[in-house]
Amino acid sequence: MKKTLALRLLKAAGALRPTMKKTLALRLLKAAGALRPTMKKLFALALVLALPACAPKPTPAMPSPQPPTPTSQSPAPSPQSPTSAPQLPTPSPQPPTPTPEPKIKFTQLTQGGCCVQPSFSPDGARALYLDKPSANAQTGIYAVPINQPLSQPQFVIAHPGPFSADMRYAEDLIGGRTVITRLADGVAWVIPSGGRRASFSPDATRITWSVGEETGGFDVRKNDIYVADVDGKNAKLIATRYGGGVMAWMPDSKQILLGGKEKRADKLAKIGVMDLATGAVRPLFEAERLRNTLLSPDGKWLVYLLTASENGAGGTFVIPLDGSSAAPRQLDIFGAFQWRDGSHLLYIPLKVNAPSSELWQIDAQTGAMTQLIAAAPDSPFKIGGGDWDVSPDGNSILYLNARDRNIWVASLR
Amino acid sequence: MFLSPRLRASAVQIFLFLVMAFVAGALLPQIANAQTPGPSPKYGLPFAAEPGPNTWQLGQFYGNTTGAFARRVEWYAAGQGIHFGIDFSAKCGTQVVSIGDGVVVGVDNLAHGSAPHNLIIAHPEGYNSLYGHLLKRPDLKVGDVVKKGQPVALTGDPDLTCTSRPHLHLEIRSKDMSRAYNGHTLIDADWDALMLVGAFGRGFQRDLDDPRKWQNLLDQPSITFGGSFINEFKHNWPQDWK
Repeated sequence: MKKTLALRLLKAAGALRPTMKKTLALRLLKAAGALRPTMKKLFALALVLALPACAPKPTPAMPSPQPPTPTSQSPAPSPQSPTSAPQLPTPSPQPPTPTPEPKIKFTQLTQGGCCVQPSFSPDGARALYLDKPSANAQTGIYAVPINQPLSQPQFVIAHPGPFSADMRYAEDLIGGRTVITRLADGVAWVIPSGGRRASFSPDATRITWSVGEETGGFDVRKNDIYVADVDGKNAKLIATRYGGGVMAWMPDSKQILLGGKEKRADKLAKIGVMDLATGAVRPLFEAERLRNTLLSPDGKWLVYLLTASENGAGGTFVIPLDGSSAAPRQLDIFGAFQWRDGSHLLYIPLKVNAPSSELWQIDAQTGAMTQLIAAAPDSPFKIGGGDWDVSPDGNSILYLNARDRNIWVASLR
Repeated sequence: MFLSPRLRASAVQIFLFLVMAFVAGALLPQIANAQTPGPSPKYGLPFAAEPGPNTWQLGQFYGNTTGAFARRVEWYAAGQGIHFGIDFSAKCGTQVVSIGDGVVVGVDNLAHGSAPHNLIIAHPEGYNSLYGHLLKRPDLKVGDVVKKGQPVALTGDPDLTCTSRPHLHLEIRSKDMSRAYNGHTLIDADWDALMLVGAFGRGFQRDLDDPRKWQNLLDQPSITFGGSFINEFKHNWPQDWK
């Protein structure tokens, strides 16, 4: 009772952090422990009057997102190349080129600090996110149409995922077994993955999962890789790798990008494309400490980050997967990246204490870089929590705005 | 005005409580700042170099991360099931600096975890910082005074190979080491920028009955070592895949 009363009053008293509220309330109640009930109420009332003095000092004013309207235009990239702008060293460095007249538009989609991890619907028309908008609302995936910002979120589905890319199927763990449900009619079945999460092929006809060792160094743990039809039938062990596994399905759903050591004693992981029909692997490159691998939508390029290891330096690289023997090209960049289309990357440099995020486009073939969004103190483009998603047509970015923790969309054309 | 002895006593008590409340209102900001993570970060990052592919990257956040939930029994049971520190990925031998002025109070005190080597520094603000999974025993002894930014240790790998998961595990604890606090609120850094690269797993575990709970890096719970799990929600997401 003491705790509840005090917390309610403290909540009313000001903008204290939850942990502070509890600590302060308990400390004060301990001091007032011997009070009679009426005295406790008076004491608490007095606290309400006194506690505003305890509220944390206001933080330095952040640039306001975009009041009063939730849309704004992009700050123009600087006409001069920033001195710290990324450069491509090989094969022939090309200076970053600011876009002359960007038509970037920023639009706030949600409010009230809602929500995190937005993604585009398969048709690109809506922003999807997991939420329970009110105490009485149902938990599930909600949507805000991109062209109806700040509109009432639409309930989409109670299942929180994971889903196949086309959202035809959802996956569940029920009683220690993995169950796939066809959402159109609710028909569900168990797959033989032993309670492990499976990954759907792009066309949602097949699935893959790994059965791995649970002890030992992560770079040498054995993983048996299985593929089956989406109904769980025809399950087959297709490969064993150490410290690796399936990195991605290729767009044709007939091949997978495979990484890992072929033998436990190998020093480096081998990355290659496996044809599921023949089991043949087309080798691409070898690496250690491989992170953030990302296949282009058409499967023709791979971008990845290597971090420094005992055996070599780190960096960001792109490599064509067209069957040529081209070596990986190092990009002189460090930050977040996603594919805009089959041959262009969108890149957000990691620049600590910059006034806002920047956005660049990189041509994978030539390495040419174009700045799309420049940093500016009043820019609403500050990515929060690393949460951003590129639309299927590559022309928009959904992101968590670090300034107001709402979901925004940046229209790139 | 006539008042019965009982009413007189009550009136005196009311007056005393109002005085107490006023005094408390004046003092509480100081109390709060001294004993709980305050609104103004005080400490620095544990590396002198800027983040990069050849220096360090943010690895795992403090809090109820999806990765910590998946390993809550195996690795994080002592800390109520959440990741009670911040992981920074860096190759073995990367120089670690003190996050603030302080005094060394522990060297290889493995009762507090983070083998094979650790270092504990007490800071005058009432917090201790623990630097874990170090490459070797730090060249410091209990009682040594250290300054913010001073090199104090070298990063290592808890699996002792330097190829499995080399990283620094940094905790900020209470002076008695019984509680761990969200270091993101106490270290002055551009966390949103750092989160752009390198984090393992995606985001924080969800309580489907309250899916907005603990979804912000700066809104993660403190924990008491030895306490019960705080993230075994009735409806968890992602699910507890094998």
